Amino acid sequence: MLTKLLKYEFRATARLFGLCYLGTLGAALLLRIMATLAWDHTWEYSSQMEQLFPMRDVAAGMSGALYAIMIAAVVVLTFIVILQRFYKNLLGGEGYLMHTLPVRPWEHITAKLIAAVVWSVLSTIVIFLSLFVVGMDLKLIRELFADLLAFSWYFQAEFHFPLIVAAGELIFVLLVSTVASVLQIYAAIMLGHQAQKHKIALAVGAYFGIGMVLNVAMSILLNVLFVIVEAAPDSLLDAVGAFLENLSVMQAYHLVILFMLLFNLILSVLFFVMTERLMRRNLNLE
Amino acid sequence: MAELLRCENVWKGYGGKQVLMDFNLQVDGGRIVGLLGPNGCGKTTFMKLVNGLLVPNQGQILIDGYAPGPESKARVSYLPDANYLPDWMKVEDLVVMVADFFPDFDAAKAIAMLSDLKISGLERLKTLSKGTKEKVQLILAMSRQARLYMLDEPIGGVDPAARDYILNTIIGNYNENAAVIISTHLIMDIEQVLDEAVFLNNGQVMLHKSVDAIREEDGKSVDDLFREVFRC
Repeated sequence: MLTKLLKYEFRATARLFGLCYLGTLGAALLLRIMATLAWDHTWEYSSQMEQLFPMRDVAAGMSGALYAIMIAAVVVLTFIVILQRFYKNLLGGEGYLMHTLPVRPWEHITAKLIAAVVWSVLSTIVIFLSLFVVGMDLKLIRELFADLLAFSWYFQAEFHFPLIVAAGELIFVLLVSTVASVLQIYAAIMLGHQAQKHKIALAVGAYFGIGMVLNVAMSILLNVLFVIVEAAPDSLLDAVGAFLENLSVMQAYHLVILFMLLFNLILSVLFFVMTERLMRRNLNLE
Repeated sequence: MAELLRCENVWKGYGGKQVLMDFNLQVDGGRIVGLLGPNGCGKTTFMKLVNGLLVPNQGQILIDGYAPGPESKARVSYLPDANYLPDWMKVEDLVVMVADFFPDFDAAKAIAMLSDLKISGLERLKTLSKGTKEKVQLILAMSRQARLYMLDEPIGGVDPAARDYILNTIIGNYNENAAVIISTHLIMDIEQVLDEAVFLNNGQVMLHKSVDAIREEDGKSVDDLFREVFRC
């Protein structure tokens, strides 16, 4: 059932994202062409262009504005679709259809989550790709890759660890933190849904409320840690200090990655369980 | 006759108002049941509870032995009294989607019904009139081989000719193992197809009788009895 839900989830959103991505890349290409025309000041060519295309500075400026708008549109669209597909499709009128399908709540949430993460990743890729379209030429790309290659050799020599794996770890943590962020939105919407009125306002409140609760929890945790450190015997502190001092740069990096990963995983599980429980036990469609 | 629906001591309220109060109802297979009552008596709330769109505050609901969940939803075909289909979809896409999720959905039957009512599969829902949308929703609901059909105001928004077609479809779909629950204000129009009548008032079942018994014992049609009971 999950694969079926995913199929319809992507079908519902693909056209909108596809158009927006094409528009962004198109605007990037347009900007590239206009900018090339406007700022190529080879004397003879320039004066010919002046006669052929007198407004070319204005055209370059306008296509620049268009490109900026399209980038903003991709970001806003991604965010709005993540909200809308959960709120409208599961808790609005379309919820009558979705919740009468023989599907469990966790499958609904997972389908929405996977689509949200996939679109977030694709939007990021498209924005980077469009920057390449605007600013890069083959020579620059070749230089960039050469630099990157050189850096990865240096990285390997210096830290005895492949750069690509280190970068992969970071990307993986970013992905898990995206999952946690999306699930925080879902949990907030489900909390807002518990009210009779002002559900959206309460969902927004719940979102920031969750953030505040997390902040408070973190500061309590830190305080507890301080108390433990104060109470701990010197020998233990020395041992920990020695351990930290002896860490290599790469080991410290892995440790930080591991902590961030655990933190985001715990948050994800927490938000998922909250959303699923509320949807299973307290669903009340109007 | 197998019992298909059992509601026991169900309570449901929202916003400080009790909608269903100690609601009890039992429906057996092979019956077409009219759920009748004034506005706000809890008909739609009852339907939504059985379909898992609302969760009861108290009490038990069993559909063919299952509490509302994926197993019950696979057995119930529900026509809500709301415009619930995604606007951007084409009629034929919807048919494909419903067929994908419900193994008991008969796509050929749906297509035949669409062509009977002259609805093109290529149209997007947002271009359809309100009445045509309701017909599409009804066709989707009636094209399943479900155990329990729950139709909330199925004929309220459609023209009289389509009404006849819909009622014939409901009767034509009759089988021993399935039950149909129809909620409506238009008692006179559906009286001919009903086996049983359930009168609902203030969130409780105040009468549950076979239509034959109403005619024999009360000497009245369901419509007349309704008017008498709910006289304003």
